[in-house]
This record gives sequence, structure tokens and C-alpha cells, in this order.
Amino acid sequence: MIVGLVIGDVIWSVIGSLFAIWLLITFIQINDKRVPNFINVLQYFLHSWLGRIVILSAWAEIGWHLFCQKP
Amino acid sequence: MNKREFKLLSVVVISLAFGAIDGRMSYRDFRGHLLVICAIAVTVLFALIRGRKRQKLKSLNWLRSTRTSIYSYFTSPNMWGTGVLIWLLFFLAYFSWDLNSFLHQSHNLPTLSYLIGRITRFYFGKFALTTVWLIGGWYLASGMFKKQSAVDRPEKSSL
Repeated sequence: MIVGLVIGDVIWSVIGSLFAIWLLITFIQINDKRVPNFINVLQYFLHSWLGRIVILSAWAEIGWHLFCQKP
Repeated sequence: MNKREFKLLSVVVISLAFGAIDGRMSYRDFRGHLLVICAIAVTVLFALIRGRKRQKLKSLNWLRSTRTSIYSYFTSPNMWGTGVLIWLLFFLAYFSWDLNSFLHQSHNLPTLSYLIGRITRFYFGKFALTTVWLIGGWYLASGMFKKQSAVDRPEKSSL
């Protein structure tokens, strides 16, 4: 066990690694688009005002939380 | 350089400049707060002006099409729908674990923003993240609008 690593770090590492693998898989299939990639997920929200407002609100909240509140 | 490339380059340069300025400010700095609020306001305003009458679907139709897609997936499952489900699972895993960590408020269970804070406490980390955040915001504010064709444009003489 790495010194200083807590159980929460390990769980986040597992989630992060799986996410990175899935991100890679979905981006690799360039011509054979059988599963949606991250850009497709974002684009789904951009088809209407309601979706755009939802995703822009999430973006604004992420920015405020990460850069203006105590991390 | 065409118009599109010039726009893209401008957004990247503005975002890099924003990141360079905001990266120097601590999360306590009021000027940093003001900068982030201004960036959010300008981005939302840009989306409202640029997107006027150019959304692909009306909000109600968008909700209806989502409902139809869910129904059709459960009647005849396909790879695309399964991919969407996997994305949903990732977001659920993130939200539930983050909420669990937040509610426990324990050193052993850090939230994701706490872990990101280990990066943003350094100048280059905050600079990189704010730059990516602003470029992402620009994409969300300006992407996927339908192009205005000559047919869509109202004629001045029509009145």
C-alpha cells in the first residue's frame, strides 16, 4: 500500500481508470460509430434550449465550485 | 487562415489569457470570483444571442424524442443505447460516491473536488484547468446550432 493513500483515493482511482478506458474505447471507433463518445453525450444536450441551459448551468457550477470555493 | 480557424484560435488565445490571469489568484481572491462570474455571464449571453431561433429542436420536442428513444431501446435494444446506459452508470457512480464522501466528511473519503484541489493549488494546474473549462464553455455556448439558410432568414420586404 502506498503511504498516504486512503480508501477514498483507491475508489476514485478505480472510477477514474474505468472512465479513462471507456473514454478511449468510445473515441477510438472513428469510422465504426456504434457507441456514443463524450462529445456525442454533450451534443445531445445542445439540441434544445432546455438541454443547453442544463449543461451550461452544470458547467457554471463546476467552474464556481472548483475555482472559487475551498477545494 | 479561414474564418472558422481564426475564431477557434481566438477562443484558445482568450482562454489561455484567462487561465494565465485566474491561475495566479487564490480561491479566496475576490478578483478571481469576479473573473469567473464575468466568464459565466459572457458565455451565457453569447449562447442566448447566437442561439436565438437557431436551436435544432423545441425543448418539448427534445423531451419527447428522449422518451421515444428510451421506449424504443427497451423494445429493441441496440449498441448505441447500451453505450448511453454505460455513460449514465459512470455519472451515477461519480455522483453517488461524491455524495457519500461529502456526507461523511472524513479524511479517508475525499470528494473529487478536494482531489482536484491538490492540482489547482499550483499555478500551472489552475491555469490548465481554467483554460480547458473556458474552452468547454465556449463549445457548449456555440456548438450544434443549425445554420441559417436563405429560406430561414426573414425577408425585409415580407412585411
